[in-house]
Amino acid sequence: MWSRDLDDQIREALSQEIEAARPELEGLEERVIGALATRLAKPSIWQRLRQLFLPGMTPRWAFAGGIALALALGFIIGRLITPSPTPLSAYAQAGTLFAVVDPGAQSVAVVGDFSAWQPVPLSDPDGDGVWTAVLNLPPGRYEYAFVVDGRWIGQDPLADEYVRSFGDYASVRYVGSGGGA
Amino acid sequence: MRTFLAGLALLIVAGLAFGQVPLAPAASPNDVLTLLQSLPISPELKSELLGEVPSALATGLLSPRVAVPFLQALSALPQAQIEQTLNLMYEALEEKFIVDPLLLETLKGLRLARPWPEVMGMLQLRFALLRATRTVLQAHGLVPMTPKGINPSPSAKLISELAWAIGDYLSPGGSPTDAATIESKVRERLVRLRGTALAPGVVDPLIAVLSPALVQEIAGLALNPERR
Repeated sequence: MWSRDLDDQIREALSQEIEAARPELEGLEERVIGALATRLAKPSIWQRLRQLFLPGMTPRWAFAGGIALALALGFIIGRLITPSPTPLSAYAQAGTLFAVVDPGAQSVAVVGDFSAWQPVPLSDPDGDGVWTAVLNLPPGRYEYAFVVDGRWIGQDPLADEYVRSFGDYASVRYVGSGGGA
Repeated sequence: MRTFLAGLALLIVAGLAFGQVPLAPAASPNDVLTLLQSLPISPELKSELLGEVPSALATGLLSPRVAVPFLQALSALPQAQIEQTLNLMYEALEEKFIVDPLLLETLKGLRLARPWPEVMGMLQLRFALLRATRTVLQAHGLVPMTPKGINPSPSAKLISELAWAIGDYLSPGGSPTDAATIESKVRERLVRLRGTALAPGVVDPLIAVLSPALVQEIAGLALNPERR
C-alpha cells in the first residue's frame, strides 16, 4: 500500500516536469539543423588560408607543395646553423696558413724551424681532406715540411722556394711584416 | 645570468685572440740551464757552457725556444755525440755568433734520422761558413770588427743570413765555383729579407757591393780554412 502511493507520487512529479519543459523543446530540431547549416557555411581558418594562397589546388598538389616547403625550410635552417667552410684567403689574413689537401690522410703536421722541427698538427674539422693550421709567425724566412702519416713532404705548392739539405727538400716561406704569407 | 653572459663574452674574445694554432709552450732561460746541468757531459765542458750560455740567452744569441728542444734531443744521443755538438756550440757562442740556426740544423738532421756523421758534417760546414762570412765582410768593411748595438746585433744577423744562403747552395752538392748562381740566390734572399729580418741600413751596403767574387771568396775560405 505504501509502495503504490509512492509510485503515484513519482509519476505525477515526472509528468509535471515534462509539462514544464515542453515549451523549451518545441522547435528544438529546427534550431539544431539551423545551427549546423550556419557552421558548415562558415569555412575554418585553414580552409580560408588555403583558399587565399592555393586557390583551386588539389590535395595531391597541396601535399607535394608542403613537402617542398618543408625541404626548403630545412635547407635554409641547416645553412644558418651549420658553419660554412672558411675560405683559405680568410685564414691567410689571420696569420701564416699551412695547408695540405689529402683526403686519405690520418694525421698531418707541419714541422719547421719556427717550431724547432717539432710537429704542429694540422686539423681537418669538416673532414673534406683539406688540413690547415694558421701560425702567427714574426716577419722572417722560415723552412718547413709537412709530415703526412709519418711521410716527409718537403715541397709545398704554396712555398716561396725550396731548399735541399740532408738529402730531402724543405719548403721556404717568407713572412712579411703583416704576419701572413 | 649576467655572470653567464660575461663568461660567454670572455670566451668569445679569448677564442678570437687565440684562434691560431699555438706553437710549443714558452720555455724559460732556467729550463735551458736545468737541462744543461742534467746532460751526461764532462764537468769541464759543462762548466764552460754554464759560463757562456746565460749571457747568450740574455743577448739573444741563443733562445730558450730553440735551446730546450735541442738539449732534449741531445740527451737521447751517446755522450760522445753530445759533447761533439756542444763543443761546436760553445765555440760559436764564444765567437758571438747567433747559434739558434746551428741548433735548428741539428734538430732538422735528427728529425730526418740522418746518420750522425752527416749531421756533424753539416754543422761543421755551417760553422765554417759563419766564420768565413764574418772574416770577409769585416775585411770589406761591411760589418764592424766588433759586433755591437742591439742584441742580437744587426751585423750578427747579416752574417748569419749570408752564411746560410751560401750554405744552402753548397750543402746539397752545389759547386763553389758556380759563383754567379750563388750570388744571384744570395742577392734574391737578402732583398726579400730587407726590411723584415734584416735592417735596410745594414743590408743595403752589402747588396750594393755583392758580387760573384765576394761570395766565391767566402765559399773558398769556408772550404779551405787554412787560407785564412
